[in-house]
Amino acid sequence: MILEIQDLCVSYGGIRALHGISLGIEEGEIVSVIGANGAGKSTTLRAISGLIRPESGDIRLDGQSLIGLPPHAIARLGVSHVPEGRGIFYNLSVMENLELATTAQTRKRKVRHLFEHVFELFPRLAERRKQLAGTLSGGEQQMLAIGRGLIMGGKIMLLDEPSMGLAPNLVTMIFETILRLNREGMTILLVEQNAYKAASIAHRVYALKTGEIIFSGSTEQEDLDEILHNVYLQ
Amino acid sequence: MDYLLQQLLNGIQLGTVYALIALGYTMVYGIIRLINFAHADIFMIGVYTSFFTATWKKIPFPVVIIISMAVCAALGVLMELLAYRPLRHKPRLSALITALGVSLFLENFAALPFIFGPEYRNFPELIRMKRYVLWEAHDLAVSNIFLLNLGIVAVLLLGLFYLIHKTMIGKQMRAVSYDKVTASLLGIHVDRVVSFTFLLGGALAGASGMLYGLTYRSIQSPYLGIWPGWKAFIAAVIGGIGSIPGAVLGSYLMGISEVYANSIDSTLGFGMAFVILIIVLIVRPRGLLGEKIQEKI
Ligand SMILES: Nc1ncnc2c1ncn2[C@@H]1O[C@H](COP(=O)(O)OP(=O)(O)O)[C@@H](O)[C@H]1O
Ligand SMILES: [Mg+2]
Repeated sequence: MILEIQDLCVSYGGIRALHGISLGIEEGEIVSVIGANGAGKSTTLRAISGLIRPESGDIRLDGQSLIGLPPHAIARLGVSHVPEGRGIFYNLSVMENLELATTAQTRKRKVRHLFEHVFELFPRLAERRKQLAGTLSGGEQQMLAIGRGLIMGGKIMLLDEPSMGLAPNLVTMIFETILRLNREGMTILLVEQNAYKAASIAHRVYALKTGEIIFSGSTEQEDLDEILHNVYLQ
Repeated sequence: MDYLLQQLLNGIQLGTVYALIALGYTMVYGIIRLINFAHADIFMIGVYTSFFTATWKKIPFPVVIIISMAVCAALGVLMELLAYRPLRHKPRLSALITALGVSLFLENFAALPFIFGPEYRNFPELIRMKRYVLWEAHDLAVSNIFLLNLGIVAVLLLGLFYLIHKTMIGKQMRAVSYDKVTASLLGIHVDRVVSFTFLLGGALAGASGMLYGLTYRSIQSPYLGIWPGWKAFIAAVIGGIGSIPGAVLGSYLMGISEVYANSIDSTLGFGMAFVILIIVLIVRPRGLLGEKIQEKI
């Protein structure tokens, strides 16, 4: 297990958002966490990257507990969190947004290679490197957010609803990029409301509902569609 | 006419002192949305630090300014660490009230007889004043001290501009001021960036303190920071709080109009700050160069 979550409980001001969830990701996997709005998907990712302190439970990266570490330290240990809403710095240029991600990079010698990789994946970003990031379209902003995640050079990438608010062709493009990154060796924890799409590219799926895991399994199971259907109709 | 031109130069001189103070207000506000009222007192400590280093031994001018900048930078960092950091996630009003408290503390502590004492002092003549006539027909002249002020402020502003736009720490400062949460996710140590901002603001106030002593040669009391502080703060608001070029523009506007107002009647200068402030805020509430306020949760 590269990332392992055990009995994680998280509350916001006394209100429980996660009721003891457990999940694990093997190196090289894409794992999707699906669930409706408010299910606790983003909360799970925020707990992993240290933005909220869990009430109880454990989160381990390569066996090392992340509990109590500040977000910047967790980022430097190799968790590349691409947040919900993308978190682009509108007041900085595209290039500067990417450069900031090298803060988390512990192997500075790899940086140039990573920039080339990002610009090859997203030629649009290369064209717009000097532009203020606030002038990018939604799709380009998502590319930039993923690009930053890559330059961080972590062991695992957490993607929070990368398809949110994008036109269908861009959604397809983003999912294809995620698949490609995974084939190149990146371990990915993907969080989505777009359940079918997220399940279709994942090795395994967890379904989250009001802070509890109500289903988990491999996407090779033939009756997955049916299970997902039930999950959402429940 | 001759008189007006000469007053313009005096206004620029005063604006230089304000600008170096105003930058600290605006940068700290930009990064943690705090109006650091005690910033004026960092400037005051800069004046006294320069005074004591300059009188203690015959230390040359460039060393005095560096010591003053270093002491004030350290004071800024310490202030943030002890007073503001513990309140970072508390309601903003708590930090604001604390800032007032820190300001009162520094002023009254410095006024204790065994610290700086409340008495008036003369700043030593570090550099012998020379006058250079620019335009004989109109009796327009500048002093070497004025030129030194301009030179130092130009070097500091260029350095600051380079730092903010070209270096990693500058990019981190801009990122942190925009969105702390995402900055931390990228591995940026937000606390360290905030400390660095106080360090920069402090250093600039220290330089201002030195130039103030060098130029005006009088140290009224440890309360001397209050008025320049208020005016620099108002200048930062006029320019658009959070905006670095705005703070500089606002400061020169403030310095020049204050000098002109004073030349009409020596009691008008104080009021001038508020007159400009009110006009600017009515016409352009975000300040001359301020950006639209973007509140991030
Ligand atoms: N900052 C917050 N303060 C209080 N409650 C929150 C906060 N963020 C999320 N919640 C609550 O926690 C639950 C899970 O939210 P979230 O993890 O954002 O869901 P998802 O990402 O699956 O849409 C929701 O009930 C939401 O209202
Ligand atoms: Mg969410």
